Amino acid sequence: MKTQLTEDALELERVMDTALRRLGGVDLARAAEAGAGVADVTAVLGQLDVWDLRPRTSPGDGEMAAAVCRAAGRVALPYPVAERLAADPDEGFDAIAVATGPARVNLVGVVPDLRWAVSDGVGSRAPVVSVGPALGTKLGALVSEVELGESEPDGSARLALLLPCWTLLGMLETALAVTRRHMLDRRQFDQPIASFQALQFRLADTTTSFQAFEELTKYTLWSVLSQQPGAAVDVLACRVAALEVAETVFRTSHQMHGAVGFCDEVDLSWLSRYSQPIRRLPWGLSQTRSRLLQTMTDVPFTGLHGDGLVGSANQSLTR
Amino acid sequence: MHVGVDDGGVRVEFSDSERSAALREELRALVREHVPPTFLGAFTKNPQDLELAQSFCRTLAEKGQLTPAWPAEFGGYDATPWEQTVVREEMWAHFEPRGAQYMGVNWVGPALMRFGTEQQKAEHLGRIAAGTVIWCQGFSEPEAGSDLASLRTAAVPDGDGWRIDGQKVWTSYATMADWCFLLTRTNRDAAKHKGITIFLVPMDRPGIKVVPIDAMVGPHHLNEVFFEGVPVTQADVLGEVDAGWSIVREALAFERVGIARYARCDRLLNAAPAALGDRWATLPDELKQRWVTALIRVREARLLAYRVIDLVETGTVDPADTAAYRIAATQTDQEVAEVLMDMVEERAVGASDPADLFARAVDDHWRYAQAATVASGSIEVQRLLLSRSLLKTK
Ligand SMILES: Cc1cc2nc3c(=O)[nH]c(=O)nc-3n(C[C@H](O)[C@H](O)[C@H](O)COP(=O)(O)OP(=O)(O)OC[C@H]3O[C@@H](n4cnc5c(N)ncnc54)[C@H](O)[C@@H]3O)c2cc1C
Repeated sequence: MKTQLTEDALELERVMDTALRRLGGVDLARAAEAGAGVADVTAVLGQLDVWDLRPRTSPGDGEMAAAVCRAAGRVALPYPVAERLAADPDEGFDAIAVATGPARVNLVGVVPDLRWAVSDGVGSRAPVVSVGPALGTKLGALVSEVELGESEPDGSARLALLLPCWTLLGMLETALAVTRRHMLDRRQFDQPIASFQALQFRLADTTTSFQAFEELTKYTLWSVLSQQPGAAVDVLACRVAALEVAETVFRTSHQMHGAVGFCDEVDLSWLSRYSQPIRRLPWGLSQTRSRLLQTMTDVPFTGLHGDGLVGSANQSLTR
Repeated sequence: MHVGVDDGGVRVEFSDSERSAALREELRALVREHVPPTFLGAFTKNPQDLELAQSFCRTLAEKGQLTPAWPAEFGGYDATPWEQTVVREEMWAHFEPRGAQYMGVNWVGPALMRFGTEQQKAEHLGRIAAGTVIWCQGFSEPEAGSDLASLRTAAVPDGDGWRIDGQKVWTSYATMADWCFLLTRTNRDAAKHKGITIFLVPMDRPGIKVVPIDAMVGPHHLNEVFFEGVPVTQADVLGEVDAGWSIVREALAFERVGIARYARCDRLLNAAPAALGDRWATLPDELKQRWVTALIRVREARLLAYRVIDLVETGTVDPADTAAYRIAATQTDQEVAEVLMDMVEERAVGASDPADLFARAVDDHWRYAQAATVASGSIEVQRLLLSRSLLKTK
């Protein structure tokens, strides 16, 4: 049993945190929405050899990829990091995202000349043949509609579902950190709002949910990278947890910030908005949960007991 | 295949080590052999359940599996925190066939090793390791719950020793216990944490009266214990006089993860589809969604326990880490209890067929889960611990 990422992965994450902070941190999102390019980000991540990682084939690279996604999430980086790391360029694609139904893809138009594909989340992918303009909406500023070519078999669905959970993990970590800071700084009734027990308890509960999710992302990473029998179920379970905890954390963060939390001048607003495409695409909470249940007919939800197959007779209390 | 190593160092790994897996198998085999599937815990109206637990403890002791965490000199084998986890998980999943013994094994024994005199160690440790003695924990009082340090049961100097007067409450297993780990006030003038002394008191000493309390959690869990002029001597003191508080804090830290509630949740949730048979197909989709969500919560609670254990192993654990685990684990226990009660439908209010093991297990689990967020430090106290640590300014 080992619950921590490799030192190499954590070191790369620290270096990336520093590099992204130097580039402006959350200001990169502000700039991207104002139309600035992301060439600097491409260059910096290239210097860190991020695009040489091959998580599909090397578990060590897989941990580094996950750590890199978390670092990107911490600043709501307007760049398809998870999508690039889920794809294998040797298979002809530089980035892959899961989409079903009308294909809307986050960050698909941000980096010119990337070869994109869309996965159905199970076992096929189709190349993106054209990319529409960015929606430019508050919640989907950098989302575009895409047109797809012919489908073919694909093996990247698990990483394509899991790595965005790591990005979201980074976003939630920052949201909680700025919330803690705000609780200590903001004074009402002649005291920091951190002194109110209702808020303390809410912070404790929200942090607990966050920590639980953080552990689950590592567990799921292990499951996917070491190809556990339950991996296909585990990624969906991880996404269910991600969507629930994102709602919890952002609800808490917004509530504790009061009105200022809705203003683009504070980072929380950007983290909250930029988490939305990850949370709504390809499926929201109920859809994801329903897919999870469906998948459990063939794939076990493994635990201490039982094979977790719905309707299975393998486990009973009579032993 | 365990602990994967490549150029990047040791990677995350969430499967049992070979030793842990073998231990899990051994414990499951022992349970299969010695504990009938109908066993739903030692604390029922049926005295045979208690007897079974007592004999199971002796079996475990013979196999060296009652006190695995203890050093060899006291009858253990220095099991790693991970092996201790396997024991906690397997025992709780199978309705704690050790009965009341876990208390002596998990923290009374370790506290004695750390703070006891040679004579106390010689008197108690062997018996705990053999599974032949039951301890109870005399902490809570009518006026001292979460604010335990305000306890009033007084030990007043008398001749060479003291006399104890006062009352404890909620004292689990007091009716069957041989010994009590008793907190008393020995100094009324000191600050409230400073005047507390621990006595190790045999329950048959004159002046002790135990009154069981009828309760929804079932028999034996809750009792009142009255002390009337109970004589104690220096030989009964654990550690120093007036220095009991720090011992208690340290002793309870041996219990960081406490009951592995998630393990029973895991077992019951997984048993549900088969146990419900044809009824499973007719359950509303919404209930199945709650079921799968509960499976995720249980997995998360287990992972939070493993996080604490990893921190214990590396010596960097903080009480706040334990608090987060406890908040998650106790709430999950209650959430799972609700899902399972919905699943057994009309049988939730009582299984008419005694062979309806699943419904009986669900009923037992629900009743005990109600106390999860109160017993051994309420969830509010855990929230206070965690939020204080989060909001600490360095
Ligand atoms: C099944 C069971 C077995 C037990 N076994 C034992 C045993 O063997 N030995 C023993 O000594 N004790 C035992 N206990 C007692 C247990 O330790 C206490 O119940 C627990 O410490 C809480 O104390 P209380 O019940 O007096 O609640 P109180 O302390 O009165 O609390 C009532 C409510 O107020 C809240 N509260 C209290 N202080 C604060 C605060 N500062 N801020 C916010 N909220 C607060 C609590 O969280 C709780 O919700 C057992 C309890 C149960 C349920």
